[in-house]
Amino acid sequence: MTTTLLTPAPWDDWQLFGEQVISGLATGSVYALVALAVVLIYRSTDVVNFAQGEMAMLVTFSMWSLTLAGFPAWTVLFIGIALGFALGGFIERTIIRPAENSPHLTVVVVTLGLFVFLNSIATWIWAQGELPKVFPTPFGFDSVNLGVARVTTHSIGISAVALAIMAGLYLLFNRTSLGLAMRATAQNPHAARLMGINVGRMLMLGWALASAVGALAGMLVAPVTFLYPAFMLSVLLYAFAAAVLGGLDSPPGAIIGGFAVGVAENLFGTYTPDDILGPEMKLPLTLLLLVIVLLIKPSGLLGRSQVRRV
Amino acid sequence: MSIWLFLGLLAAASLSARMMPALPGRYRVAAAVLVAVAFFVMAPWLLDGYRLFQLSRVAIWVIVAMGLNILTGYNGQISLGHGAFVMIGAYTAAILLDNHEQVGFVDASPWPFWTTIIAGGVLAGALGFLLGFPALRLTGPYLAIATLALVISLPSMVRKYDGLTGGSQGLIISQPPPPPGLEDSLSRDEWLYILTALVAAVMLIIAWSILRGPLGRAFVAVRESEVAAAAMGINVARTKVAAFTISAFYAGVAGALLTVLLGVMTPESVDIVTSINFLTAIVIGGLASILGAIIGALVLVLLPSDGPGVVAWLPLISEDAVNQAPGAIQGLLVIVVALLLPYGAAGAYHRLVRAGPAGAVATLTSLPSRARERALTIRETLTWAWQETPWSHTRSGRDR
Amino acid sequence: MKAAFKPFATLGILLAVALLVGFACGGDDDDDEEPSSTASTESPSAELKTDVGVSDTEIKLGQHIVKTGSLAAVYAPVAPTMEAYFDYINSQGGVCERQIKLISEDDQYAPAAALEMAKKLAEQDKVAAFVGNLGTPPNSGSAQYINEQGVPDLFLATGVNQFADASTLPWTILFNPDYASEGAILASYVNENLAGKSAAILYQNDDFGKTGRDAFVDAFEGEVVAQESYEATATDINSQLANLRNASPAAEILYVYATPAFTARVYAYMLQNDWTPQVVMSYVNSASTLAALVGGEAGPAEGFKKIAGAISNNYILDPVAQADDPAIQEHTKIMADNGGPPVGNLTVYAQALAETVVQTLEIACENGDMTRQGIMDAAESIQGFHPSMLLEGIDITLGDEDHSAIQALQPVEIQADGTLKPLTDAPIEAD
Repeated sequence: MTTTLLTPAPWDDWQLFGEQVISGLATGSVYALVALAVVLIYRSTDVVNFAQGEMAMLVTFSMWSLTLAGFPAWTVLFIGIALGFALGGFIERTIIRPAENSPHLTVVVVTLGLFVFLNSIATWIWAQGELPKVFPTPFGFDSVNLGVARVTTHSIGISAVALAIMAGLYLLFNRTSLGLAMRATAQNPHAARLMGINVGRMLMLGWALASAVGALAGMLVAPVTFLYPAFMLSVLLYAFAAAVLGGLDSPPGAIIGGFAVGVAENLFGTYTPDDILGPEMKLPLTLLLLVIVLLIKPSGLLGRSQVRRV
Repeated sequence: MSIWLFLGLLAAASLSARMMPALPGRYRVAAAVLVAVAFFVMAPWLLDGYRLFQLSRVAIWVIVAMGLNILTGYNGQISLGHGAFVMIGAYTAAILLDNHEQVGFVDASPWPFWTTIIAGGVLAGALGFLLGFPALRLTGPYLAIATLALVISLPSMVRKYDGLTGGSQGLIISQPPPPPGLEDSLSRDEWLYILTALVAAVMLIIAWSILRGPLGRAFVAVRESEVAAAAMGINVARTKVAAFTISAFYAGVAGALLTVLLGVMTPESVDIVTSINFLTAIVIGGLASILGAIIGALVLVLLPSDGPGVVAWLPLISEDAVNQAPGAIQGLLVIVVALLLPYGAAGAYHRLVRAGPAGAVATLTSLPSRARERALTIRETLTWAWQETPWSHTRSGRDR
Repeated sequence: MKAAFKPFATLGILLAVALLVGFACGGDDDDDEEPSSTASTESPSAELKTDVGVSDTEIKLGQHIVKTGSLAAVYAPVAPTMEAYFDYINSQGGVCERQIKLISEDDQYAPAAALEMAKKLAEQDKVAAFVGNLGTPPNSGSAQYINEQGVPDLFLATGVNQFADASTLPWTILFNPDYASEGAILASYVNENLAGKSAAILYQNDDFGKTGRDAFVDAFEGEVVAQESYEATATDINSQLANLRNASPAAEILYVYATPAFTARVYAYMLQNDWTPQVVMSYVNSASTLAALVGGEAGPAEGFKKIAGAISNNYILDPVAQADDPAIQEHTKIMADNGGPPVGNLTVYAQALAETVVQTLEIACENGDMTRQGIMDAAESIQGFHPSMLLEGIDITLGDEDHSAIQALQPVEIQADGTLKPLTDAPIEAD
């Protein structure tokens, strides 16, 4: 192994530093958006859904077919959200509900099976012909100059949508009786049922909402990464990291986690010595940071610490 | 002999032994195990090279599944990152078996292969021990994602430090020949099958003796309630770290065997999906069960190679659809089995055995009618889903 | 005791039924007829020598390729195209008056599963040869085994040159131009025509990207000012691109050894930041695919305008830019008539591979030797064969030591109207 260290990028190049931070925030907004869907489903049903990304992928591909038929980007976006909502509710009712009384891990495995199933279905339907496919953005790809760096209108649009959804979820969970009922259902379904809450309906609504947010995220990620059946997999893994970093039950945590993961990755890639770390190691370093944060705060930055029941 | 005939006879013979009315109760389990062992001993004569190779892979995944079952099934800690421990073991063996100068402090000549299997297990176990401590602070999904981070990171690290690992090209090793005296009578497939099956058997026996001892009882006590376990005088932290260490050791041994079996190790050999699939395997097979680990490993290997083909053979299923989307069939089978057998195949087996021969017949004969009932329920719920919209509750929720 | 016995017997019967079902189900495990090694008298070519996988009516070929998992979709058209082309040949009477049968098995793009499927195809299905095993990781799992068995491992669909080494893998032949040769060809073109310019490099962090990077760096005579890599699973590469753009001194050439989805993002970044280095990129970025991605909603025509001026290599016909070529029209017809997938870069590629397979079998037939050894000898004796899907001037020549099928590449410059302007008079042979 060589002992010479290539010098990492200089810290005093503020132009480069600014560009790295801003591009990290732009990527982070994507993670944040998907992380919101992860938080939503965890908060309302106490499950981590591995098929989340593939459900979004299926909706995005269906919407891609609609754009071929000439529908405008905005219309497609809203139809996609509605389809995602319906798909989430349908899946909860048909294959998640029957596992209601099974051990917790059985539900996780059902979502893993669903992951494989949906991926294969999409490959079957859409993989004939050239991949990846181009997906339209409703925000456009115009360049906006922020002084140190330029971003696209699409990136700004994603950030705005993520913040709006965060605010919406915050209000839903903390200010409405419906949100209260959903939280109660996730925390203790039996007690919730005794309180007169229709538990089944709350779970279904939780899945439907999470799937709708996931579908929206998928349709906003696809214009950047292009559309192919596996396009949500690595985004979902990043989103898991972001959601856990921010706290699995906290919508603002998902946003902060997403941005933090995006920026940390860029800085690790740019400012560590190339021959021992560098860009190839930016993902492991970011995940190491995640684990360190978890050791200090086991339920994430903004997550509520869990109370051990006796 | 077809693998299905082999597995079918094995299951039938073993189950019959288990329920043999003539045998006193305490010998029945032993008889069932002996029958199964006899089948696996006979396998080299009954199966061709391809199926033997598959069974060797099954043997390796049995070891991983057993290790993961100790951690997740018996001790209640979820790990999605066992692929990382498998890879640590696999690369340890590959580096030690490789005859290139890799590391200064290791002799350049390859080690005897059996020492690399132990080395793989020990190194992975050591890592498991170190990771067991931070894992103490994490629960449920937080632990699952943190372990997932491990398996995501490892391929990048293997590619980066290519002086040691051979980078993205991987390491090619020469597979160990059969022991002296047997070179002529054993084909390589047979030899590797015997090797992997033997190691798997030894690892299962070790697991069985751990699990029925005080440590095994401590694992389960901690899973059920940490507070109660502590009140009983169990050192909760030590128990959980022990589970992590043993579990990682199992994965490491399996990884080293994988290197020996494949003759090559690359960063893609154990990916994220494989790692997550270990969890699928033990849930489908049955949590907290040795039998579950075995069935889970069989599913892990046979589902991709034969699942779609078997389904295509069913009536009313177009073979074309199966060929077009084999993954859809695999995913669907996982979902259906997970829903029908919530406690895994091992759970169903135990229910069958508890029911006794008479009950077993009753269960089997009532299967069609129960399946119809299930279908009716699902149809009802679907009708319900069409008729009632979820948001109709929103209003009444506010009214309340 | 007696009461317990009756249900016990019933249970036995039920299990027996289950077994029969299992037996019938797994029955096709055993139905592989030993191919006749002595040709029957009615056989049209009575003197044909065969051993495994070739009967009087059929030539059985095997392939392991990814069918499930994240890469399944990307390579989905390959196997169906080969099947469609073989169907077309079969409808013309087949080869040696025998029908070609291709058995494709799923290798999950993983070494272990690939080895497993190679064993199944070689030992259970008893194929005469493997054709077009796809991808670097699967082939690194299966190649050694296939060589030990002495089965021809023809035309691997990858470009890593370790598979072209006839001394270690005497039964394996590589189909694609290898990435090391391509890196060297691009570097030598740049040395001659863009002398004295500095380069920044972006490469994919795997065998593909690293081989292409190393070969270029070795042969390039100018200064490399910055290098960055990305993972094939990356969601964003703007960070790396920012580092390349801000390198000092500034790079005049941007050497991109990446797949189209990532190269398209390089262009998105360049357009966004008004950054205009001379792009030099790998042949895996077929012009029409890249143009479609860069063009986005505006369509490929806009995309071609944006990527115009990029230097790349080419060896197969472009289904869009060369849509009027009679060979492409023929290809489109073959695919349509035989249930093949819609025409694209991968179908053109897969047909080129299938044509070479058919050529190999034809030679073996002429030699009267369709044993595994005979098929291998036939492949090694291919001289100057031109698959209709390859560019004019790019021919396949193989030999005992030469196990690399396509070795010539045509450096091209992409034009705004979608055509590819050849930069040299003839394709460049790799050494």
